[in-house]
Amino acid sequence: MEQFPNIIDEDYQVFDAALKELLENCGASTALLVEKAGYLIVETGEKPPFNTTELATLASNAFNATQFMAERMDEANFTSMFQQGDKHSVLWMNIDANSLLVVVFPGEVSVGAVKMYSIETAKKLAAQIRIASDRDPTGGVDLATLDPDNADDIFKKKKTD
Amino acid sequence: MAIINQANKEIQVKIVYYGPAQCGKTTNLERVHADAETENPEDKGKMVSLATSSDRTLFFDFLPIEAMSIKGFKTKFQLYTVPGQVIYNTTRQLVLRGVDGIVFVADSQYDKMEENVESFANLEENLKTLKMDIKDIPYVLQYNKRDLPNIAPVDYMDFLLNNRDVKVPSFEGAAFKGEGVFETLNMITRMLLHKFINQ
Repeated sequence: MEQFPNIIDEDYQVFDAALKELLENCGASTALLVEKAGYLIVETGEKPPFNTTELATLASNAFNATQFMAERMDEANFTSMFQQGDKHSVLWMNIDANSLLVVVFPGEVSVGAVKMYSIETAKKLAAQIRIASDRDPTGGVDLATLDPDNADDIFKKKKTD
Repeated sequence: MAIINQANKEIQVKIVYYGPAQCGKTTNLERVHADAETENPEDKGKMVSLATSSDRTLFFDFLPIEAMSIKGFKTKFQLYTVPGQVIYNTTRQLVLRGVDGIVFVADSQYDKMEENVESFANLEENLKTLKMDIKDIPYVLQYNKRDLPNIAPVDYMDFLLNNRDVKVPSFEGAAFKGEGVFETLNMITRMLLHKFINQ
């Protein structure tokens, strides 16, 4: 399975700009680029009154569940999902095999506009992800000097009195 | 598949706790959440549990936790559990998506051995469905509930669950008391770091 590429500043700037443009165009409050294993990659917009790391995880797993449904129903793809709320609504838009766009917007904003702009944003994000994937793989993080055998204290248990 | 974000200086890694129903997967996460020492309080997120009214995991448990920084990169671990009941197999496949490391939690009680073996076979099948192979994914075994009576010897559990050409690290645990939880987690973390270095 192809994986989400390592991303550098240039990618981050493009993602951030595309998400900001989306928010301006459709009046959404928060946009998340989410990797489908549950990782929050980029977050743009107002600081929402809920934890976006949790939201990304829940959103990706919910979307993945619908993809399983699509397979069972012999549907090529369910490319988007939408939930209408009173205070917040949420739109999920598929970007590519590994990533997802999650857009949070006020309950009174029309989903039609959000969906229309999200489709374009998803294409821009997909294009930059492809650029990142095609980039020289030796540009990754050099962990060669790590000493993993001294990893016993990566997670420490609190001392009890 | 771990995410390396050089822009934000973050490495994100997914570890899934797998095993039969009621073997202690959720308890492991609860202990990590309660007992992990972190530099800042916000390094340890809230534990999200999608469970039934009787606290059986329905979809997954999730705990995001930031560990000590490595080479200037914040290392964020996403710890997940899967629901252990047989009927939730599709959900287990969902949660395994993108997994980097696995902690297989086995119930040490004699009468749970068949469930342990079936659950491990189920893990291998689900990984195959996702076009992954257990041979390529770092995993460790935790023989949990060592504090209960009528438990199988560790040698026997190794024979049932750890009898491949290459044996994986196994740990005795009593997750309810917090025993073996951090040893297990640190070992899978160490194995993942080895894997990243060697890639």
